[in-house]
Amino acid sequence: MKLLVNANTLSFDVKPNILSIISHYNLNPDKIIVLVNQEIIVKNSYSSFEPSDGSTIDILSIVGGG
Amino acid sequence: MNDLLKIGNEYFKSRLLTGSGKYSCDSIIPEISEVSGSEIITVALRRVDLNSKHKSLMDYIPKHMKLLPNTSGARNALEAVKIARIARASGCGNWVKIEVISDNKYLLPDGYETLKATEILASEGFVVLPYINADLYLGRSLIDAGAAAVMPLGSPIGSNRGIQCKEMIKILIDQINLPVIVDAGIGKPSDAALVMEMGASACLINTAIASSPNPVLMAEAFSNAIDAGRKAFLAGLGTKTEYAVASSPLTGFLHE
Repeated sequence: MKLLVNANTLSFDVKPNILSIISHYNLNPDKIIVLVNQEIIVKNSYSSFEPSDGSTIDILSIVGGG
Repeated sequence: MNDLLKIGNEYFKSRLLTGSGKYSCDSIIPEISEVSGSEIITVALRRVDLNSKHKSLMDYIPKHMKLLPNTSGARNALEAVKIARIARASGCGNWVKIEVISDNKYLLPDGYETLKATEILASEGFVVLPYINADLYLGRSLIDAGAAAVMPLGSPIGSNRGIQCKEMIKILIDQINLPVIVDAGIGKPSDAALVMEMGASACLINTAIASSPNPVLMAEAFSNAIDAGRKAFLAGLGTKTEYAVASSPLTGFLHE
């Protein structure tokens, strides 16, 4: 299956959950925000939420700004 | 002196809001925060760059500081609302600096879209601080819509050009009964002192500190300037006159 993660297409052999996608990028779940198809995913469902094929994933974080 | 800044239902000792952008290294932020005494810091929300190691800004922001997420990148009200909701859901709290900009040359705020976003977010319980052109009618409409303060620009964002909108800011200060926080364009401590002497409630400084060769010393300089300006405002400025008025007695001269 394929997912669009921060505008990059990513292929998976097995259906991933949010936690496995985050782990793929070595990201700390506490330091990021995840949206699937524009909807915010709450942190305690990262290990259970499995995006469907073709979903758009946005991984965001707080950065410096004025 | 018990002179606190009230925004929403919260009180602050410091009238210097700081930004967290443009630092060559985020690790300087704790020191900047300490010397400036700032209690409110702006942050932004962006996609993570998946091709480089992720470093979290939040590791460097002192825990006692109030986060003020901005909606930078929003080109209309709905995009601003979306960013604000994400920021709140991510644990940044319910404060938001609304910034709606579609002009990339001058980065001027879109008042109409900012007003629409303010109406929506204030009704959802956000403490809304809109970044605006210094315009009285817009300021009044924003307050009616539930804004907790207004943040007029001194001059374009990041320009360090100082207080080019002085007269319009003065009118806002006179007519708006909520905090007027001057944001953007403040280039040097004397710019901040100027608006504080005029009665502005606070200043938000980012570029002028971050772009100084010595940001820590500059943060302290801004803190001092804002304190000085505030005290001058509270004390009340002396009268201006066209001609000289002697400070020493005009009697008892030695030649008399």
